[in-house]
Amino acid sequence: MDNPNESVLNRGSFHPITITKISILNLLKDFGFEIIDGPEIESEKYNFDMLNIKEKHPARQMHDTFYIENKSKVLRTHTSPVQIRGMLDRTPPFALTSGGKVYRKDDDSTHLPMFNQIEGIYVDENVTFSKLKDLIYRIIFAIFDEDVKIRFRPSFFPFTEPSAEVDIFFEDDKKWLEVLGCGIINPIVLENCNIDSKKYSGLAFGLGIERLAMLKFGISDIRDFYKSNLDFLEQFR
Amino acid sequence: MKVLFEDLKRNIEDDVSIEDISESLFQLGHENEIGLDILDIDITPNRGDCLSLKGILNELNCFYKVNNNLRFDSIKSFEKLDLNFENKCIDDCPEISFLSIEAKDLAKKYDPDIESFFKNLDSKKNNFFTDISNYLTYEMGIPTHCYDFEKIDGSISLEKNIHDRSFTALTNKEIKIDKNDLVFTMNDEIINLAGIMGGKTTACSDDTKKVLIECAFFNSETIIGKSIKYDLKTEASFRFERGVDRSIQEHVLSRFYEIANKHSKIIDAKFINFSYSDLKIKQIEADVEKINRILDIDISNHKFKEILQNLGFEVSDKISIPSFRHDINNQNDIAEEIARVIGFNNIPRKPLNFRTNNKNNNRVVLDQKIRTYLTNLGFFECINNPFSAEEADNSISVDNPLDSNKRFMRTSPKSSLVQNLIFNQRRQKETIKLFEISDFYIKENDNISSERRLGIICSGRIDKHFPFFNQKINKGFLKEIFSSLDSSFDLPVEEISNEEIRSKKNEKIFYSEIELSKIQAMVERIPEKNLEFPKKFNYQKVSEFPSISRDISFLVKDFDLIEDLATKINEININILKEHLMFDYFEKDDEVKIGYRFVFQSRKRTLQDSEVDKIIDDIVESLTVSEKVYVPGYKYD
Repeated sequence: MDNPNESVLNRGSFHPITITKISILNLLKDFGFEIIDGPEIESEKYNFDMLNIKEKHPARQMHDTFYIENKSKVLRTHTSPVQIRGMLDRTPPFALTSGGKVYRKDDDSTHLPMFNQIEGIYVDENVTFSKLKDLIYRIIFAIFDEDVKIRFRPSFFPFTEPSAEVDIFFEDDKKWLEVLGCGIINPIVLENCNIDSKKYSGLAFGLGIERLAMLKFGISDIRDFYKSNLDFLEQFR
Repeated sequence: MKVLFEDLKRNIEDDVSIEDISESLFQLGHENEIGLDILDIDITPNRGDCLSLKGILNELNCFYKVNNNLRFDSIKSFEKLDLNFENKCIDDCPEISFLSIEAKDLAKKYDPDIESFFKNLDSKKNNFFTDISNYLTYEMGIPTHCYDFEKIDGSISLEKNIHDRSFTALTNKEIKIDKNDLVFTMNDEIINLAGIMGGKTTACSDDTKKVLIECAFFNSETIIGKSIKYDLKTEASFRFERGVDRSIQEHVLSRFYEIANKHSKIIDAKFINFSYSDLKIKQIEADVEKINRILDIDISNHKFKEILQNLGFEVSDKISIPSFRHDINNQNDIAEEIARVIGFNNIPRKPLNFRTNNKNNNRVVLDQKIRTYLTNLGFFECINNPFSAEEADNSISVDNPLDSNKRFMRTSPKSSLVQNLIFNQRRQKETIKLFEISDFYIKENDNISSERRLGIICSGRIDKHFPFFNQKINKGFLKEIFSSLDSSFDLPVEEISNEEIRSKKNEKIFYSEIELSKIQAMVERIPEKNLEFPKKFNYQKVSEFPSISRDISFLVKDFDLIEDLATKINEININILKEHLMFDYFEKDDEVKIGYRFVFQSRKRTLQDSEVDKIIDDIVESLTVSEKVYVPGYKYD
């Protein structure tokens, strides 16, 4: 039989996680970021040590992280090791972003063992907290609306200092919801990557793609993303 | 961490409301919720020092006049306790103190502050000494452990690697302790899993009048993970895991004595402290210019000092870090302290101009081109979990899987896509066309390698709309899927039998899988689609109830009315009408037969045939108002 002419077939759809991930990567690329990628199976060195996550940190325990092949490697728990690999290969200034699957040992109605993240870093001279705020505003305005209310609050990540979580106000629900984490790259991490922290500083941010897709598309159950239900997927044509 | 508002207010001289305090804590990075005169505060894991009333007051000292200098008569002058104690693990526990108390006339009711703690924070009363210990954990954040001193009849050791590792916890739970875990022993029997929970054999009871109170500093790294390992999560383990103050063990026991003395008649009390190394106070250079550079602000040296001093730091040329702040190590940590008090939201935005050039990623571009091509042919992208129960020769095994069905990393998308197909077959889908692009990891000798692969699965009708409704997917359809890019390309395709996958359907199933590098050159010709978020999106939650379909064949005798019929059908607004589609179109002479399928589904319930039949009657009646458009064989009223 003839191959069907694509113009008359009904279109299928990209997965909503892909739509979200690629949209944000393209947005960041337009700002000046280079898109990089890295392996999902990582060494503890890149996934934890280089990121200032100490050996006894709870995140490294068997109940939080998937280990494989007699603890020789881990399934990456965040996309940050990709940034580490990127930093080791480059000299500042550089702006890197990466998105992909990450794994944590969770499985309940609000957490999945596999989910997706996007992270970005910018390392240069005089990268400051004020400039980090500017970038975060620009990202959020581009994803949501220019009139969205944004707030920053202190948080804790071993690889950034100061660290912040960022919330936006949803008028419909009248509540603040967290959309991303960010901070100034901890000088320890820069030094781990052979970058002179006295000369250079950096900013970093990361966001959960499922969470953002849920907020953006109005999806209430995270598990719906991975059922491959055509009634669900058809809505993203 | 729950804190009573009355406890905070009593120690703050300013006139503050619970909302004021909530907002102040929020600014400082402590998310919280206001309950009935209670603040439920989410403390980040680096701030173990905030897990007490005292710790929260330390933080609020930035904004309010706080009385947090709890002063008690020291127990240092007490007669020295003659305790046969040996610490064999001084690196894990460099500081430990013991206080013995013999008391009588123990109070049944405590001071209002302590009674309020038990009543309003749902803390269960146990016995006199344990109650004081529990209250002190709340007030000062340093756990203490009470042994019934009458039950201590030998030497106590703090050690690891003991021979008999059986232990019965206070909760009666029987545990086999790992050899590397820190325990207190008495005559070679474990009496306390250090920093986690005491044992049954030496526990206090209502009859206890003579108590030995232990207050130790355990390194957090020694304690981390143990409470989860033994499923013994306690207030003590929560605090030790996050780090406690090494400098105030004696102070805490002094406070213990004060409370006990207020609520009983103390006959005897003795004290001893074991310190195995000097407490080193960390220092960082006081460099306000550096802080201003990190944050891009301009605060004065005076303000810089004031903020830090209010947080308990000593500032001269150097900043001396308080012993309770394990999280402060460098100038960036100091910058965060300053920023918290100024308020992250009060630090201005300043334009960031990138000195970099953007750069795409070949892999991302290639993936996008394949997705664009396949979605244009009506395929839907799936993303699946990488875990599998199936072991291949080169499978990577997961050491700690979620369950036995997820012990291996999948080496192919096939089984996931088959499951996706079966899932949709069970939901009455007649056209199923799915694909997945993913990395697959395998073992190669002692190394791990990966391949990026594309899997495609399809079954049923080529499309649910005319003209493809009556065409079934066959092997040629999938084999020629890339023929418009390269007519000579031979895509490997296999037919999967329904029996093999235990499907009850009769539709043929076809599957193809290929490494992306093998189609890279061909795919590069596909234009890339620029994805953007849709401006508006009206997502409908997927119904879990079955759908009901009805096919109606209209006869149209005036070609000008075809579009009119289609418009009217598009305008039908019935909330259970999930979709309608034209599946057939046949012209003969001066008339045309058009087949429409109407699919009904409720998000709340299973529909009945009778109610769908009634709706169909209404639709047919409303659409066939003239003799030129009607449904042959339909019994009109």
